Amino acid sequence: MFAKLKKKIAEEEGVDEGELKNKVTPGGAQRKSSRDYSRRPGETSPASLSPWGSTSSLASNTSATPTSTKKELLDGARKDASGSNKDEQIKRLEEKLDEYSVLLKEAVKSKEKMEATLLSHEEATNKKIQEMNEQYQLRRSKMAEKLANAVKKKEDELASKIEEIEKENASLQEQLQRLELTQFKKEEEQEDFQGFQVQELAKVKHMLLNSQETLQKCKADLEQSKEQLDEKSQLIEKQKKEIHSLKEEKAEILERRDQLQKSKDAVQETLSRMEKEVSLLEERCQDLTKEKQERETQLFNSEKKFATTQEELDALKFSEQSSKSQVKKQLEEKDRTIAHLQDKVSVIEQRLKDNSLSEDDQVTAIKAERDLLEKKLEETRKQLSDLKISSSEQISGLEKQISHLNAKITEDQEDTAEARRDLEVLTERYQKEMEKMEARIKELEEEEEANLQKIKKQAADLVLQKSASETEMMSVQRNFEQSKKVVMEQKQQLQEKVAGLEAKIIQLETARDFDKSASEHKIGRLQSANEEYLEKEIEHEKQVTQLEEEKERLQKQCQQVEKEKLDAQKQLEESKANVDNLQKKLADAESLSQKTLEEKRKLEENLVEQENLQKSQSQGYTTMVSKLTDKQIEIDDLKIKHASELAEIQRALSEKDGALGVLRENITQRETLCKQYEEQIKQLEQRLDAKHSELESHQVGSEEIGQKNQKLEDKVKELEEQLAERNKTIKMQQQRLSDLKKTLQRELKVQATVAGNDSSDEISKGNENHEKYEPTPGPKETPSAVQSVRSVPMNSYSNSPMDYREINFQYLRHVVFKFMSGTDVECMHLLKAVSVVLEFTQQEQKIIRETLEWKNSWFGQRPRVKNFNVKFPSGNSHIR
Amino acid sequence: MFASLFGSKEMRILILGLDGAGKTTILYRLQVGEVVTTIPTIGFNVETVTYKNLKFQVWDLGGQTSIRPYWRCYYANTDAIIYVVDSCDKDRLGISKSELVAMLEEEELKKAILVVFANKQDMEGALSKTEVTNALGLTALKSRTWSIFATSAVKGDGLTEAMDWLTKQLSSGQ
Repeated sequence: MFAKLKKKIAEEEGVDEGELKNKVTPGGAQRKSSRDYSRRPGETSPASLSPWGSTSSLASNTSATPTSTKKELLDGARKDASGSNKDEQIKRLEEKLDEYSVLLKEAVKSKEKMEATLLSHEEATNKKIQEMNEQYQLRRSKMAEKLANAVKKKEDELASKIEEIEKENASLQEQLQRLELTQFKKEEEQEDFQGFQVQELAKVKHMLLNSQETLQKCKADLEQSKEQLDEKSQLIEKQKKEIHSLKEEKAEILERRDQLQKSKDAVQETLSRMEKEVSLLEERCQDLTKEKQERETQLFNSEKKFATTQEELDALKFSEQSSKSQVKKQLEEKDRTIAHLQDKVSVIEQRLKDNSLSEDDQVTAIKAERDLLEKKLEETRKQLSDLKISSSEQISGLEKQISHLNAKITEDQEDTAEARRDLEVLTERYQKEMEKMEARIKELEEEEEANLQKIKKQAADLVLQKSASETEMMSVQRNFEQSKKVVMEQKQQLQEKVAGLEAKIIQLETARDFDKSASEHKIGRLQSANEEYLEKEIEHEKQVTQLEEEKERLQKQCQQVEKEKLDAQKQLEESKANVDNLQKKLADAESLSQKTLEEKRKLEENLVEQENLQKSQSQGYTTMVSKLTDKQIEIDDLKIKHASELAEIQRALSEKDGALGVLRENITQRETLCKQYEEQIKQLEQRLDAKHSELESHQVGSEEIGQKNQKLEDKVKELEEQLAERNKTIKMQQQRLSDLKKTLQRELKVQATVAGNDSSDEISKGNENHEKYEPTPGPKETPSAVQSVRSVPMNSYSNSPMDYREINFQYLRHVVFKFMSGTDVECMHLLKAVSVVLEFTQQEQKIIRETLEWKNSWFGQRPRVKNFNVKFPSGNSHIR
Repeated sequence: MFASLFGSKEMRILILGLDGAGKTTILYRLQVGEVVTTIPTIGFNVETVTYKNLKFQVWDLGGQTSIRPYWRCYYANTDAIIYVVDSCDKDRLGISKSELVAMLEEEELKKAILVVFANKQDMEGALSKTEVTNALGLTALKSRTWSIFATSAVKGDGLTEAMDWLTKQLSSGQ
């Protein structure tokens, strides 16, 4: 490479030298006329080789320089001569020209000398050159021949080589085509693979997700089961604690039960004592009741006696009253008869008085008498009817009394013999009296009838006397006398009767008083007896009340004892209930405890022991209870109740035993549940294992897929590597581009500084105008236009120390940063800005847009970067 | 993506104007509602501003002289232009006007709505809305929906009115 380059450089240099030679060689003579003319032949005839050596050319160069300067000066002088003071200057210049012409002549002379010498030299040199030339031509011919031969050989070789190369090229092209084909295929495959890869990745992801989900489910199940297990273990621990506490409570309660049983024994002893006392008291009570009954019988007898005596007394009183009433009636009747008789006596006295009167008077008197008699008759009739009524009433009352008395008599006949006797006597007397009275009443009635008859007779007599008053005056007197006598007699009889009746009354009164006194005496006796009885009764009653009080006290004691007993029973029941509750708790605890296996067994053993203990205790308890029941049966109904209660309690106990059994069944159920849970856990574990195995198989599948993936990834990696290489090349090219840009900018800066030195003042003056006239860039901005924009220097207003280029760079940096970091939409918007700043071509913009769209879209093909790569250098060269 | 799916496209608004006119302050006043301290924008700021359920993609382009030529790179698909003028900077109103005229001649902005903000009204010696209108020669504008608002980005005056007008115009134009 370097050798070739050197050769190339040498050749170029040679050419340059040749050119230079060509340029310079004719200068010596020809520059005198003009510079342009001197150059032209050199350029037009670059091939013509000058026969002159290099040294001479150098010499000519050196000689040529002063002349040229002179020429320039001359030109400058001429230019000056054409200036302002032309005339003066012309004169001066003509003078100077003369001087120069003299000098020129001198110089021409020397030149001629020099030319002569030069000609001689030239001849010599020409000869030499000719010789050299001949030699050279000979050599050249030889060399040319050699070269021709060598060239031919080389050409042949090269031709063969070319052929070979062409063949190789053809084969390579074929290979290339094949390779391209394969590349296309590969690309297609790659795309397919990419598709497959994406699909398989998706599948794998899906499967992974599924497996993860299943795993998570399994984990969740496991966690749930674990939580359940934990909860159950916690429950078991809690139950253990509870069992411990319950055991402690049970021990305490057993102690308490023992204490209670002791207390119960004590209470039962006291109870038995109390019961004995009660029995003693009851015996005493029975004795007292017997006594009381005896006393009561005595009292009853005495009361009966008292009643009989009282009845007797009543009867006596009644009879007395009746007799009194009879006597009163008799007295009243006697009074009436006396009054009647007195009336009669007064009538008769009146008659007697009348008799002493004249006959007329007597008649009138008799008439008056008759009227009086008639009146009396009516009165007597009325009295009679009244008496009849009263007598009938008395009779009825007496009959009632009789019947009453008879009833009384019949009643009291057995009990009161003495009284009956008296009563009989009295009744007999009464009967006698009654008979007497009846007889008297009859007599009186007869008398009355007789009187009535008499009165009728007298009336008839009087009527007769009236008719035969004068005749029968004597007879009347007689009758009067007779009647006087009769009246007297009657008066006497009546007086006698009254005396007799009075005597009788007196007798009766005395008898009555006697009876009264006798009955009163009896009554007094009876009353004293009664009082005695009453005293006795009171004493008995007092005794009875004392006994009753004692009984009540005893009953109270009994009740207290019973209450105590009930309390004890209640305590017992409470303790039993406690025991039952504890048993329940125990059962619950057992039910809970039987969930665990080992501890459960231990607990069961403990339970069995406890149950044995309990049974022994319960047996002892039952024996106690039986004893108690015996005692209680012996004592009272209460005990029987107690026994029944005990039986009930026993029943309850048995029920609770049943409940215990139920609880045990529950326990067994829970055990089965536990077992089921365990089975479930096992099943879950099995499922977990199965799922693990599934997962493993999944993993195997995923591994396979992973292998495939790896293959695909390898391919992808390869492709990515290719891509990276390509990217690298792109970056390299971009770097080159940036470098080139930098160099360009540097050059531009240099230019700008060069230009700025000239025009900075102008720009500073007309900055505002410049702003206005700033060229608005066209739609298709060429680099030159950009350069023109860029060539605009910093705005003086901004006064920022930043360089314009720096600002531009910052802008680029910002825009590129935004382009790379922005969203897709922003990227699409920024594409134009970026491409403007970075001067992308339309095609590059298109490619970038396509790639952006490809990135944004989910599907679609990736745009071929190959074209970009192929065309990028051309773009690069375009920028270059 | 979703905006394009649901048919409600984000409105694209450019904030333009000379350097130091207050474009960035206005942008962040609109977006955050606060006054932020800004440095001269070399490049641009782009923010999504939601105003009355309308979404705007607001581009605040740097207004320095050197980067003003790049404004035209952002003109495509622009719905509205907010042209911010420093009302106190009477010296450069001419430059502002020329920039505005050059911008409005662009083919890509033929349909864009123009809103001019006569900014910095809080400063002393600020030109009034009508003065700015005359200075910019806005009355000569034809076939263009435009309006001018006296604003103060620092105080927030006039921004809501301007945005209300703009949203109304944009929604009616849809």
